[in-house]
Amino acid sequence: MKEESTVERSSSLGSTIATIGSILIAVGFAWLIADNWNVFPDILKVLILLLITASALIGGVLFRTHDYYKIGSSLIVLGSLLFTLTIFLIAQIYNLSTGLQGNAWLILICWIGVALIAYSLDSSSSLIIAMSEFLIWIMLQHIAFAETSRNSSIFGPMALSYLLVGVIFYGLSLLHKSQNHKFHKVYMWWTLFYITIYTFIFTFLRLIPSIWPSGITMSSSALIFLIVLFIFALISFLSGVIASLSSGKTTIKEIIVFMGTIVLLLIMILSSSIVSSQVGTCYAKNCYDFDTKASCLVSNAGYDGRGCLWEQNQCAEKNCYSLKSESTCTSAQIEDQICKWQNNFCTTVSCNSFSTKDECLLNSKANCFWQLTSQNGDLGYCDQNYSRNIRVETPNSDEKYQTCSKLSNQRNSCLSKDICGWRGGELGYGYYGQTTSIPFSLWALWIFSNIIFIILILAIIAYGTMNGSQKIVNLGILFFTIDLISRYIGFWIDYYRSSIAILSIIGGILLIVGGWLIEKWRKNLIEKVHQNENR
Amino acid sequence: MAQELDRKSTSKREQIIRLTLALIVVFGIVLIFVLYSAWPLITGKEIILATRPVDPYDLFRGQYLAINYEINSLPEISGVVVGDKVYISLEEDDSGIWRYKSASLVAPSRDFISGTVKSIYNNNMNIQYGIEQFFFERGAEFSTANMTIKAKISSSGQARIVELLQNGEPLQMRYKQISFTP
Repeated sequence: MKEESTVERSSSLGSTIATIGSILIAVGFAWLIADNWNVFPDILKVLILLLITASALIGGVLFRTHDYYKIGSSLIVLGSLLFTLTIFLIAQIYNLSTGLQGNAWLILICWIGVALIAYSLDSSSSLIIAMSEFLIWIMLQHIAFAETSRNSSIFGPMALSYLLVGVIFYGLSLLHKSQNHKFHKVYMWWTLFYITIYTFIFTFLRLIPSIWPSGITMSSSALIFLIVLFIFALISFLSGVIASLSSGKTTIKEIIVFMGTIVLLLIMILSSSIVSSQVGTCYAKNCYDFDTKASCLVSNAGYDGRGCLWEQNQCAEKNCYSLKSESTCTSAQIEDQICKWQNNFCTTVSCNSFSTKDECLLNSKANCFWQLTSQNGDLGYCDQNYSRNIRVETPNSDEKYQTCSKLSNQRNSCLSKDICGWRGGELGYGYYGQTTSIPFSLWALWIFSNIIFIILILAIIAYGTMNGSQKIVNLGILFFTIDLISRYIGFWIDYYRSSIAILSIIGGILLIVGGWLIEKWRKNLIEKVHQNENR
Repeated sequence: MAQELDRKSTSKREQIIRLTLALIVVFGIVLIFVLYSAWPLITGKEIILATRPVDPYDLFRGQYLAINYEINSLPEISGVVVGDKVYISLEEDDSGIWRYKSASLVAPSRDFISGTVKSIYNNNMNIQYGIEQFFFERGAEFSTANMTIKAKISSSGQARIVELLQNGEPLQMRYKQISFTP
């Protein structure tokens, strides 16, 4: 028996040394490949990447079949990640587009591959990677749509798409549950996590106006994308509901609660367009805001009140740097400035650069004057008369800024002033950053979204308790805590000027008492979960 | 005991079938993607384009040279909107460089490259052809003066970069030796 043990130990030592040897050889090869990567032909690079990905997957399966389940699963995750990298490296090898649409296509290919790996090898972790890639793809695709149609909303269609993704996840969770597939737990947990984080994002007051900055509008490509996604969501949801109800794996009550949540979220997203026409920043227009020659030339919008000029079909600041041709530069009559064409570029010359009195006085239009340095003769230097500077003779740009910023979050009043411009899709700020009047509709929407969030958290906790899932209960409690902390930080940001001391003391007491109560609540719920499990 | 062994061998067989399936998926997708990416290089016609390069960095893919071509900014054609696919007819000049001849919304019969209109400004359209970047390994050193691009264009107008040229000759890249010691 003793001999047997010694033999076992020495064989284990031998295999450890052999493993270290194998790792060293692998590191040596990896080093050699990395050092000579630039001299390899493209096809060899692709083959090396494929070989490494395949090795990770084969190794993962071998470990799993030999009862090293965790190591095996980790290697399969590595294989999924390496597949993603392989796709990006192939795109690099063939110099494919780095644009948003190009990257969106790459992520889509990665998602398809990783999802298929996850299903063929039964890997929950790879499924999570696939789900994450799917979510990234949705985001990139919407940003790519916005690139070609700049005036359309980007966050609104994105929010609707992500809502449909939540429905797809739920449908898949029901479908897998009806088949007793092990992925049903992954889908269920991620559906709940996803819907909760989704609702949480909308509880921030400042984010609501950015959903539909110019009303419910979207590009035709985004609309087609939404329709396709809607069809997928409908198929996934209906097939999941039918399969799970006929197999008795779920209740109608659960489906109704989920549907209710989706409808509430949909109402919240669509109703945020009500505030889009009211909330925004009112700012003092600059030259680039004028798109016709007539409005450009009569405006007094330029920085320091010089005004604007019309150059190459564009309204620009009235200064030498805006002039794009030699003829307009040399013949320019801009007060306070002397323009000079130099190195294919129109630049300014200061009065100090004129060394003779004649040269200096030739540029008197730019307020150059000859400053004598001696009582007798012409000895002196060329200077600029700042007392006649245009800045003090024109309305101060700061005054315009004050006038316009007071009209933030009041679209109609803002646009009635010629000097003011309007930028929707954000919560407007007044002079020196203080918040101006926030419309009642925005407050109402914010309260509505927060109520939905609290109801959702309570529903998740109830669902977790009823189904005996400690993970789901913890998820609900986690988001409840995050909500408390973020609301507290929100109050700090809004009211810190009032009294830091009072806010700190009240906040501290609330967090200590709240923390104790939440932990007590969580323990009670977990106990109930265990009681349900034992029954 | 026998049942247990049977179950294990079935499970092993199932794992092997699943692994084979996963490998087919990985190799299949990569093969299709490589073929798509390399198709213009395999079947395309070789042309040389004039450039104006700059040098940025891609978060996912590393160091690359962003290339601005002469044909990126062309006069606007009637009826074109942002996002449209346009076909640019090219003709070779005396120095062997292929330059803009005409643009249209329908594919011409020969010698053309296809691109997407990204913006229209001042009666000029900015077009992207998907060959505006050339990746290279970290530590590469080269000059961007007098640079032209050798590309291949498939029969559908899709282009891929073959190599960078300097004064008409393949660009010589020098690589800094990577060392882990100071």
